[in-house]
Amino acid sequence: MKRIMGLLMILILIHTSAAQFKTVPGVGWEGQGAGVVMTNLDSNPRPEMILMAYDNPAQMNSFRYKIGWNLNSAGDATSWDANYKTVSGVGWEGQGADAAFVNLDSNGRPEMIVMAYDNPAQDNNFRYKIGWNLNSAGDAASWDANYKTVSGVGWEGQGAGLILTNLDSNIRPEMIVMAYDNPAQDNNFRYRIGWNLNSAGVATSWDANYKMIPGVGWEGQGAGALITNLDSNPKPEMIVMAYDNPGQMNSFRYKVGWNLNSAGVATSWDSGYQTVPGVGWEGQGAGIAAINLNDDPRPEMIFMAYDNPAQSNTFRYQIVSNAIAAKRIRLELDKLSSVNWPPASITRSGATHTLQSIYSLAGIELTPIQNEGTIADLHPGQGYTLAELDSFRSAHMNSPPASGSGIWHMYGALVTRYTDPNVLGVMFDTGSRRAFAVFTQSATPNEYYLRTTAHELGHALNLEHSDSSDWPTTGNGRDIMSQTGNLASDWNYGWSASSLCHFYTHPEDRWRPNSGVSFENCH
Amino acid sequence: MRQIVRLMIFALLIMLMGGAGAASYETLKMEATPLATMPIERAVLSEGLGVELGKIQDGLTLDIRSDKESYQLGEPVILYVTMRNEGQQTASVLSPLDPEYGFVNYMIVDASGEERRFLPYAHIDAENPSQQLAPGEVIQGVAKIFFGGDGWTFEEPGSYQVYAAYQDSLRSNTLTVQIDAATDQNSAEAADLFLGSEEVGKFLYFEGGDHLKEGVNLLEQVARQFPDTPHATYANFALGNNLLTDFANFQTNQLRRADPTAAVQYLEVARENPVSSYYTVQTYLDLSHGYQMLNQPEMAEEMRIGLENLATSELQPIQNVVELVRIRKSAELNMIT
Repeated sequence: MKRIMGLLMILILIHTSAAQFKTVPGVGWEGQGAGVVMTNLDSNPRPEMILMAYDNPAQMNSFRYKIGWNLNSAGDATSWDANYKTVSGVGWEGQGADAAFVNLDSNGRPEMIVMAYDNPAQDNNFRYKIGWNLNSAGDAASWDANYKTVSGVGWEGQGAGLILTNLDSNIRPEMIVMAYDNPAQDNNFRYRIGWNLNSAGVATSWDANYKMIPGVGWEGQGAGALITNLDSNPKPEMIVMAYDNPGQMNSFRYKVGWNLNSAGVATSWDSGYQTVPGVGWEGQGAGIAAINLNDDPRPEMIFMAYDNPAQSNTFRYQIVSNAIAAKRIRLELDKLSSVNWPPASITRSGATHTLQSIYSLAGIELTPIQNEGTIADLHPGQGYTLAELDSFRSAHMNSPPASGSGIWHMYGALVTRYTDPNVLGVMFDTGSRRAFAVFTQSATPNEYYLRTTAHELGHALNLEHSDSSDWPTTGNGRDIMSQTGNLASDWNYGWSASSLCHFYTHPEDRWRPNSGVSFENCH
Repeated sequence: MRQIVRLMIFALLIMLMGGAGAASYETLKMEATPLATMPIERAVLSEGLGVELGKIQDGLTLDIRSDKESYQLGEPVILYVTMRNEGQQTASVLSPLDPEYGFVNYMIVDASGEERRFLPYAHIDAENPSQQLAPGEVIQGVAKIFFGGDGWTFEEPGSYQVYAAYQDSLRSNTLTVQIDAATDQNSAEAADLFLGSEEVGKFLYFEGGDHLKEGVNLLEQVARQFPDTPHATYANFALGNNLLTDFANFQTNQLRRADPTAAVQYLEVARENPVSSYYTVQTYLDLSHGYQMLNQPEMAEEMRIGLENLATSELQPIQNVVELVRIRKSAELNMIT
């Protein structure tokens, strides 16, 4: 019943929210696949959109991508790269391509992985290469000289997708490669999983066999895949999408695999599919992504196709607003009578930020509750020990949400200072990851007070620091999970690409408090 | 204002140390001197953290040591960690090296070969953890790895392999931590009381905590019923250390004042039965402080001299650790009480 309601909600949203598509100039005349990625690269907290196409000249293909900077709440970029960036391809002919972001190494900057579904005479195969440590302009420090190859799933495809996520109990990420296989009649989706990628981007093992899901039509012109969570079950859903190609107007068609287990197998798949209006008659690639853009914390779904008119192609995308349920957190805050509450808002670089708005970018509906504000400062002027903070939490963490509400209960203690005055904050129950303390005499002025509160809550949601491992030799942090001592002057209240990967692509039990997954290197 | 406070604390520490030199509360930087000569095994590259040796600045090394050949089941395992700049260039590094700060991860491999990262009870964010380490200088840290966010670490007798990794890039030696089964009935019962209670683990980790009533009761029971076990020494130390300072108990909403008389009673028992350097140094420092509070300057001086004598004799091989613990304890006592 719950699932039917969820589907109905999605349908209603699609029909009411899908607006006119947006168009971005393409990167060539012919493509053989495309993808869309939402991330954050620069010092502005608003997200970037990366549009990639697998360009198909006469001989060797190439990946070409361009970046739309700082999308507003309507999904329009403040600006687009005037020129595209080029990455050498992995073959002469492809039948699908995609891109994804992940953090593989100990450098805090993200990796970009581009993948094409290579199409030789018989068996296809997936080929990918990695761009390492993208800078704030979206340029990789280096690209793999050679591609890595993964066995394909058929002879002919009409689209491909790439997902980086984490499915098992190992903290290293999984890579899911998917192709929209094209036999004589009904197409089908086929995917296989590479387990626990090491810091070089090589999987420890790959599924010997692929998993197959019935398709959504006979002919497609692109495909994509997405991991998210749509229902109240903490296990993730997998969405597979194809850009269906009938005689005239195309359409995006997708279906949901519910509650993937740790082997990457869904409990069930939708028997039918959902439809989102297409953006043209002919395409040469498509992609799907999720991010929250507007004030409503429920993330949007973005459907993109690489439209193929007679000459220059264009990227065209549709936004389905508030399509995914937000995670809801009740943040109980208690404070000593001698300190202030965190500031309700801070204006920085012309934008106003609140705890709610910071977490809304991560698709989280955060409700801070100022619960107890007159707790006696039992030894004024002196720092509190971990043991004393432990007694604070155990005595005062007492305002949970209603039982069965599905809302997560988290806790912040606001006190004067720690025994070491150099300490700004502590997450002091790393096993269950529910509670933290912020020290108001250290986390000052107010813009740091708000930042430290958001930062410690991020730790409790299983985010580690986003600084590069070579800091303090090099590196300037700008985002919420950077360490304060590493902040550049233009730091902001946004999330790093790595943090966004965590919130949007990791299953819920990797970051939900009290999930049994302890605080670890999950960023 | 914060800088002024820091400078005052800094000056106070130097006074307490008798002008020992430039030292911070969090870490101690000093000229490299030999550490304990416990046998160590050189690092072997592990897949666990994907660690690559030598990725940080050339010349930095990381060592972990223990001052005990083996531990009885339930005894707190404390490691001393040392980062040393053996290169020619000054290096920028992050500290403290204690697990709570997250710059150094501690990995534990049990007898079955299963590897896990030690999860400290708390994750601490310091304002500016970056510091310069000149050639020849070292930074010391202490890792209380016996209890953390996942509870007790060494719950079964056996041989555990432990190593540390700084920023997941610089790896330490691998140390064998031998946990022995109890050798007699009293030790077995004491170990059961320790390992059977999360509150005992917390109290020993915090070295205090009035709100942990069950833990306090069990530790008192161990101290009373099994006085000849090493567990009793840990219990006596922790109970005495707790009573030496005020405690803000938010469960009762009251500040419990320090009780040096009761504290000294526990600590004197702990002093009579030393178990490890970390606890011995703290016990002497606590006693010196406790006797001062009791207006017994002769006894306070006796404890101070006693510690100095130990520091130049049996504790001499771990002089750096003695200094680190001394500085931290001095700072703690002066900031809390």
